[in-house]
Amino acid sequence: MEYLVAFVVGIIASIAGALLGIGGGIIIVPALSIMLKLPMQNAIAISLATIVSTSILVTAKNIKNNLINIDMGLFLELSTSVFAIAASFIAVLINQDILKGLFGSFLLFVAYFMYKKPETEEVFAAKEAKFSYFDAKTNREIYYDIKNPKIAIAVSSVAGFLSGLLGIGGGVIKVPILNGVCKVPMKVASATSSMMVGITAAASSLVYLRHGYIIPGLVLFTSLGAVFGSKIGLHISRNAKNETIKKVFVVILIFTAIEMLVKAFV
Amino acid sequence: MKNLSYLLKFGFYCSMIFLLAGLLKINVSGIDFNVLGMYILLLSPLGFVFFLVVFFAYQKNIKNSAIAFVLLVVLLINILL
Repeated sequence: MEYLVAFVVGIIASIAGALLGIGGGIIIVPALSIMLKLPMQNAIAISLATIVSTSILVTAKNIKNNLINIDMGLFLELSTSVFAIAASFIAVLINQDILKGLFGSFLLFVAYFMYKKPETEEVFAAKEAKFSYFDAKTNREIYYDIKNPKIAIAVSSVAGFLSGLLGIGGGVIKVPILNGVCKVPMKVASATSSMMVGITAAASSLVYLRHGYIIPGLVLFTSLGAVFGSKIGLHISRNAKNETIKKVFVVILIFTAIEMLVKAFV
Repeated sequence: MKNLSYLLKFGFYCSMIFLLAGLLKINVSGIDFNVLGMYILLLSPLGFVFFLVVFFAYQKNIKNSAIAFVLLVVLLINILL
């Protein structure tokens, strides 16, 4: 029964990822913690391993399409990994009620951010720009430069810390900043973030694996669920209205956050 | 780079098969397929970074190769700690 739940959780997390552009962590961790009553550390560890799975598949696809800015990804990943590893060492020592409280607060932040999400801005540079990618939709080469790299490093470090501590990917923080502040095109920001998230999650997961928090059977089913879910999500996203889905999802996030906060403090 | 895409997918599906073997408690020479599957899955991103070190070195892009190498060292230190 628990494997079926893990499979369904993987599907839902992946559908939400495809529709709303978020990683699976903010769904997998509370779902496993509430539905399977797993301790927070186990839920975080399984979530991180599943994020590695989805990142591998997405990165494999994006490399083919040449959407990843590897220069930027590698540079930012250095500080991200260090902070993620440090956070995962802290997380295995923290009381799980504190982790639940932190996660609940983070969910409220994500819900607010999703509700108030600013319009994405696409500012393309001239042909002299350092980077470019081919946009199949508009059938032209898009040129861009990276602005404010220091802010990108700081934000990536915070995302890495939260990833190791709470079992999230961190894309929900990184992508809007890379796009809005660093002026990286949305597709490149999203693809590069997916690659980085996999490396960060792998680094933290190894710490959890050594401490025995990963349950391989559940990782298998959440990962397989994520594989199916991404295909279903892409199909739905062609037909469904994103605004409606977003509002429903914000409500679900708020309820989940309240439940986790209640469990943490009551 | 395209070969890397196939390599990543191959690693993912291998790890899934090993995890399934571990779940079904298949025993071949006492190998723990659960652990093997998990390590293949979690070490795949490190393999990816290693590939980038070699790829950029081959392209004589020393700056990127050095950054990838430092990242690989950080990740390896994490494994050895």
